[in-house]
Amino acid sequence: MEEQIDYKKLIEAALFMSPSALGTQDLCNITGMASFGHVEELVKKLVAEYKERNGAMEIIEIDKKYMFSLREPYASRVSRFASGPDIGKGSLRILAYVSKNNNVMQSELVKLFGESTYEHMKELVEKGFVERKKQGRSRRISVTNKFKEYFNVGVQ
Amino acid sequence: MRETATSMVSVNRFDIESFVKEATWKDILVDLVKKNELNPWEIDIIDIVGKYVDVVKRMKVLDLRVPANIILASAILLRLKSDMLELEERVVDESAAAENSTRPYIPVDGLSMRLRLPPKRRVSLNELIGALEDAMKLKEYREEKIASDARIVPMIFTRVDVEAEVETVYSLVQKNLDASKMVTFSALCSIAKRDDTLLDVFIPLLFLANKNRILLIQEAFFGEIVIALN
Repeated sequence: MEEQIDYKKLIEAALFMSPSALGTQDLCNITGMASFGHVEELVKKLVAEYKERNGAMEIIEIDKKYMFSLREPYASRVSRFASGPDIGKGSLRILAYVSKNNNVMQSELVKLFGESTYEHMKELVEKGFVERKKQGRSRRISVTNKFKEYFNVGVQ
Repeated sequence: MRETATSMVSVNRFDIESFVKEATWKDILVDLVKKNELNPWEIDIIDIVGKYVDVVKRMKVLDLRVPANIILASAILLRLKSDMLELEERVVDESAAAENSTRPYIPVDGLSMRLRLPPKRRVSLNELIGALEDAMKLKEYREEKIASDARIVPMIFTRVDVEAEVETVYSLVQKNLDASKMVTFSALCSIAKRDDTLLDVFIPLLFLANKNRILLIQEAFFGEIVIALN
């Protein structure tokens, strides 16, 4: 007989294995539960449990998505075991420049960082760190709320 | 036709080359195997490949139908061979085997996979600041480069009075003519004592020759130039 599935543990397993943050809809699909509210309740319980444990691991919420994370100072001590940062070096440099010069034109970024900017910009948009608004023949680039939540910063 | 094909099989060596010439050879081949009249395991496919190569070599008119049928027949035979293989694993009673063995029987749990992919780590704020410093350095470098590329480089030209130069060289030629009213270019250069003697003497000479005031004679390439007054 198949073991009874504990949905909270299933959500915990999914968050543990997933390489990126999972939204409530993703977790509904994984658990097969239709009740959005119930899944959200289970995630909130998990978040609270990890917070109460006060261990090295925590579940954080970024842009309405959840992921496992490590608390400092433990994260920086074990970062060498990770497969790599979740933002590429070139993309991070552009993201940093955009955070300093919010609403910068994409054409200016291309002039400064070269043709590879288009590729990095695609990555940053896909990951939800920046948004583009068409202006004339170029685009105006600004950071998103996800960026602010991820780095826990305000933007100039 | 059927009898012919069967007779080819009954002989010890299976003559595939003659066999595939029959129109219905494919059906006959499968039928023979099914009726146990032909055992695919007794046919050496390497030998058939050798025959195929021989047939192609012997061919005077290019008709690939027969050799191609040999390949197809080999493939069918290979398939029949593989179908005959026993794919089920033999079940061995481990405990019974253990009793007969001198080694003690130790039951071992089956292996299970432990799933844990190394996750991507989050980028820290310090890394973001470091990236910003990189970006600002790059910006500074680009701006400096643009500024340096756009700077005006002064070009200094010295004005030269070509006519005066020509006249100076002409008087030099006149003064150094030998008894036959000629002077060599090398002699003129050694007397002239200019900064860039060759060009400073040679170019005015070309002007003078162009105006038909002198005659330049060079009998061999890169040889001595003889200057004579016109």
